[in-house]
Amino acid sequence: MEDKKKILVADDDGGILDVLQIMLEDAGYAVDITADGASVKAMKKPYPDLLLLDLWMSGIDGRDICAYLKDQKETKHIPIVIFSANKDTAAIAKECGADSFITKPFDMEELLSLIKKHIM
Amino acid sequence: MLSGNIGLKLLNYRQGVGVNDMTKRKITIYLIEDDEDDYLLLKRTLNKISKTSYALTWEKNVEKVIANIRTCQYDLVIVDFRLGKWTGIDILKEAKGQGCKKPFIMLTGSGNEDVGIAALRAGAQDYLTKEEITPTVLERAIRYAIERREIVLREQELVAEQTARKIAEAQRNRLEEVLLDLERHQERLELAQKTGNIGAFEWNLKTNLLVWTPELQALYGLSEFEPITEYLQWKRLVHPSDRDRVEKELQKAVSENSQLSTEFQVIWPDGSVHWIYGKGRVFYDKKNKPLRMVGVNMDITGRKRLESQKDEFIGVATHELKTPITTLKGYTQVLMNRLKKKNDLPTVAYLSKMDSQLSRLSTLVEDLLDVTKIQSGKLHFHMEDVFFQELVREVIDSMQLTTEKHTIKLEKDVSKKIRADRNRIGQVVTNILSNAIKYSPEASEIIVKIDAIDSKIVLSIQDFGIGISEKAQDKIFDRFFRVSGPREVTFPGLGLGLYISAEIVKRHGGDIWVKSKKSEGSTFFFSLPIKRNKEKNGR
Repeated sequence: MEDKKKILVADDDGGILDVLQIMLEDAGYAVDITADGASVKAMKKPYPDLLLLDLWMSGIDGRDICAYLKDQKETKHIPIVIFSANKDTAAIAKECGADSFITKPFDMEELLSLIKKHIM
Repeated sequence: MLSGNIGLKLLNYRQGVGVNDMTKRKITIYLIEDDEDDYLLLKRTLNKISKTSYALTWEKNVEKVIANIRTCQYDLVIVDFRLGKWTGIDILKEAKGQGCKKPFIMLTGSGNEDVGIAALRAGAQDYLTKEEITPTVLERAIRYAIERREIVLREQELVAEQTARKIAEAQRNRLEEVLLDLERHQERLELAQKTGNIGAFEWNLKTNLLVWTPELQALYGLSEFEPITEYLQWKRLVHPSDRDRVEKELQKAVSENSQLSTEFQVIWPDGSVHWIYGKGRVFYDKKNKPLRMVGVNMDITGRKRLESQKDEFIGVATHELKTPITTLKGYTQVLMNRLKKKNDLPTVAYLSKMDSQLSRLSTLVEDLLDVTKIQSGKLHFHMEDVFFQELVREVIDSMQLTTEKHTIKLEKDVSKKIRADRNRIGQVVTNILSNAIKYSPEASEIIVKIDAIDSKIVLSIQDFGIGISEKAQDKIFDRFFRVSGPREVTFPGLGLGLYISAEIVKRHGGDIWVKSKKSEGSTFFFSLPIKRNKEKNGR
């Protein structure tokens, strides 16, 4: 159990957080969820193995969080997958240094294979 | 009427009423006569007239007469009919032709009434037969000739005066009408400008000077006492982020003789920013040199505010509508996975149907939002270099998963790079392929080909389905058009897909079209410009 990879999911919608937690735990990951963007930006050790980040979070822009984490020495190694309801934001996600982008609503298979790309 | 009038007056004169003052002064007479005896005879006769005194000037050189007749200062001209190679009528005509208005009396020989009549017709006031001349006859003839001439001249003056007065009056009436009309137009224009937040301008392209209406001043937050009179003054009022673009658009309208239609922001003296819509037309001289631009500005700040609210709404709506769908889809798939492990396959099949319905709902939401974006000009692309063939293969692979009946075959392809929004072009291919699947329920094959024709790649997707009637083919790329009737449940959908696809292709500089025959199937084509390798060097 100790070697489970840890994924942090950040979204401001409780429904999404719940279902992603179940989905990812079913797939064998350890999952932390948060609706608080600021706490993601200020994350401390131990760091997650991957961050699943909503681009449109109330209060704080997912772009800022992503760009900030990718700019810090301690956190820039963490793979970030951005998800958004708007596919026009794919380019924006790339600009802020995200490793992958996925559009809501996504297929489970699609999401899991994307995560597998970044953490084995 | 005119002649009757004169006749009456003449009668009055004959009866001695209104005789003027010619009896009191000398009457000057110019005699044109080549016979000295006749001259002397006339002179003697004149001398016998006691109540009037005459000054007679004799001239026998006809050429000299013709040369001077225009400036003739005599009260009366008496001319002999026979003047060597000339006739008195020649002199008369010459005099009238030169504008001489003096009265004429023609002298003729006896028994030559015809000459007299001809003389009267040519404009003489009277004629006298030399043999009949007595002091009484002569005196009366002279007096009548002068008076008649004066009456005619006065009549002519009167008529001319009346005509001039009538013309002036008509002109004044017309002018008043025009002015009234103009006033009404002006009032309407002012009303329109005030109520419509519109101001008008004229820009002299030679001097760069501007004329603005007070309403236009107001649109820039200026009072009428702060007039904008120069192009550069205006330019300084335009928001720096729009200045260069609008100036380029103005130059384009002038150089290409096109209608100007633009939107830009202006900064008011109080620092606030306002949106202006500008429309203008350029006028040219005969040599096709631009003279001036005339146009209007309209305040569209309110509309712009609504537009940005609408954009914001689109974003929020996308997020809000798709979030529950995402959650539902997520739970459906979690359930499917768990039941698969328990081997409850019938329930997995139900959930799979639920999942595909959720995908459909998601596509509908997406289409509606896309149309809203297209309508409001907010469909933005993120252009990148795309290997078209790769993109098409990817879409075919994922679409193949949605159908068990059909095999999607890529029969021909070429490897070319295009400059495109990968997601959006993928959406077009997906849309056409899903239509091909949807509208060929009995077929087993869909054929895809990629060609390179000239500087464009052309994709064709052929199905063997229900086809489209010729009439419907024209409308198929219109908004809300559907092949089947609204009550037909076999092929559901909002009919937005091809409209969105057409917009995306057009905005990429390509074309989209269809060839189809009812009950035989359809082939959809679209073309996109191939990316040229030399593009960078060209810059």
